[in-house]
Amino acid sequence: MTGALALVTLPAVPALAQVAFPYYRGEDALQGLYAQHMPALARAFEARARALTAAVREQCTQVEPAMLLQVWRQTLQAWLALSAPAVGPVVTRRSQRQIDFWPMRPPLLQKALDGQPRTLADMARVGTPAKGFPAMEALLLAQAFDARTCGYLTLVAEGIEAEASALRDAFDRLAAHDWTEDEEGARTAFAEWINQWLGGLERLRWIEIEQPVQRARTAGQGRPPVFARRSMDDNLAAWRTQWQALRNQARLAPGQQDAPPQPGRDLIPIEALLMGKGQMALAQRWAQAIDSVDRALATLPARPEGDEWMALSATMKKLTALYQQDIASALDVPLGFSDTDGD
Amino acid sequence: MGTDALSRRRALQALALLGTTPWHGHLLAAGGTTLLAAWQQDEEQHIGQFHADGGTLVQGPTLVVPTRAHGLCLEPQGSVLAAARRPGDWLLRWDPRDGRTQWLWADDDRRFNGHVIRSAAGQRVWTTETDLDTARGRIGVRDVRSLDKDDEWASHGMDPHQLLALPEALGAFPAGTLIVANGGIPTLPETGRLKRSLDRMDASLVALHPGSGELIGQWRLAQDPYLSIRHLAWDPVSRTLGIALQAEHRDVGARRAAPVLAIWDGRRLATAQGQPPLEGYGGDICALPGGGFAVSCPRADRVALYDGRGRFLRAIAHPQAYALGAAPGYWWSGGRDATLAVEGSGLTRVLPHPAATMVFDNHWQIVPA
Repeated sequence: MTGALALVTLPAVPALAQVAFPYYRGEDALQGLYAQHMPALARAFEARARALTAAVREQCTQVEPAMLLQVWRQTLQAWLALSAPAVGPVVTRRSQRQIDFWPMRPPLLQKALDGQPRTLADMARVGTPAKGFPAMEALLLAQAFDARTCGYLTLVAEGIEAEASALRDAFDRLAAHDWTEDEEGARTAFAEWINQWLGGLERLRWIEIEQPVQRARTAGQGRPPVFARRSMDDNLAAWRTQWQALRNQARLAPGQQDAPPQPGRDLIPIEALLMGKGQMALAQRWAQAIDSVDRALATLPARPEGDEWMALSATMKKLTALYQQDIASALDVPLGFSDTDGD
Repeated sequence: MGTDALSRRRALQALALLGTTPWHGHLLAAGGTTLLAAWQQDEEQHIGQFHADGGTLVQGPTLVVPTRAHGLCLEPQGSVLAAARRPGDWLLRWDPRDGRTQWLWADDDRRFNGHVIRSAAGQRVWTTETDLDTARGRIGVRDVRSLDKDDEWASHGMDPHQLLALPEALGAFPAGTLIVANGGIPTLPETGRLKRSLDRMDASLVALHPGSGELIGQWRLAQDPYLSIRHLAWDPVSRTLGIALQAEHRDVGARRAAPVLAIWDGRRLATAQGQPPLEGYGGDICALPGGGFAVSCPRADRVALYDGRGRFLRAIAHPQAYALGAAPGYWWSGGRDATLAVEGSGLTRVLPHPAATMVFDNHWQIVPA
């Protein structure tokens, strides 16, 4: 641990609660992210993906599709927890594109089924819009499966598992990386994380929530929004999982106001980085903006209407604006093509 | 008075030091001038019209758009085409007269890059786009009525940005030739607007056959691969194409000193000469009424003026100068708090913006009287 200690007075808690936050280096943040935080998420995703493959391979023709759909949901949640935000090997392997490409293209999926692929090598010739989580969801929502569909589902699950294993392996290797011995790599990786956190928030806010609503509105004729997942329950669960994953990297965990995260031991969220830099007022604004999103998501009804989606997006947009205007610069990271910049 | 109001007042005072005089409207055609722009205000994105008549910009018809717009294309019948800024997912036709809209959302594996134009013959609409799979640049060739994509051409580079139909023949290139600025910055859909692997930058200016998309010319600034080629303006006086550049050098000194203008004369592409450091960022470009170019430099709070051969002439102070536009006899520069209207003689008028919270995007479009 290096640098000065920042004395923190948190206005939200009694005045006695004065805690010294250490100054965290970018290397400390990366060590927390890649050695402490991501490997566990990658292992959890791999375990779920293996369970999905096993369930499809062994039970596809014997159980109700709803049962397999439940295993698919658990695997999807583990994937979203790992990939929000997308950092490190999730970016370099283009994993989102490989296993979670949407919109799924029904004609391409039908063509892939008709081609009757038998191996993962055969699947390499199938376009990403016909495999991964969205294609699997579409097939699992059918009432019954024939042997051909089960064979295809097994290959899709195996593809997801292969990607999960590759990610787990890559994150394990990153966990052993000594960022203090790689100044240039640390600078690049820290900038990627800070940029990608915003990218993850905007993917959730715009691509997953607001854009489908706007598309439907501009199409007129009362067309309902088409979100990434087929059921609203699955969309809400996916949004909450992604937000929680983003939040974990952004906001101090309970108790950390009194016991700051320690370099080499803990994930160091963005709020801690700000406090370590002595940016107390900004850290407080940051925490409040995050808590507003918490409340907006928690109070979203099970069947939201257009204005409720837009209100949620607007709350998230305030967080985006704060990040672009103040947070990234406080962390000394330039945002690529930020909304505060021209083009 | 709040800080914002103070800085606004100071900025306007600074502009007043340019030697401006009260606006009497005599520079403009009778009835004033109508301008188009995209801007952000109170966390909402807009496109809309402004009317300059007297000493202020008066806001006209406005449309709130879902995400940030960028370049606007005025159509002969008075409607406006707008493409979302990269990685953009919408294309819009908006008629300011009656508010009607026609939306097109990107459903394929492409995203818009913020610029759209009509072909010289008016039969097609061209959009700069990025293939999300390969990150290669594409030109969307669209039906002028439906805006549906009829065809797609390679831009022969990455990150294609502004495009321009050559308004008159130049050298071997006939009028109507499609000129495209390939910004050259590698991006990935997974990383949104994060600039990746700048060592692989490959900016170029290309000339495409307007009927087939065939590549008929390509030029690079080989001496400096970190200069992104972004915005274009045709100067009918010098008969050259001006290109606003944005530097991506890691070295801060090199970036700050980098040229913000290049000139293409139909044969060769060359950077400006004699230019002082302008922070390496050209936000927009327009041709000056008497020939030559203006390049806005928001990071230097200047508008740099050049002759038609790319020789630096002088710079005008304008805080956060971004949007430029030209009309016969004068040109416009939109900055933080005000837009300047500059006569060919250099006489400059200051038009305060209707609201201090308006942040204009890179481009003004002047609506012909």
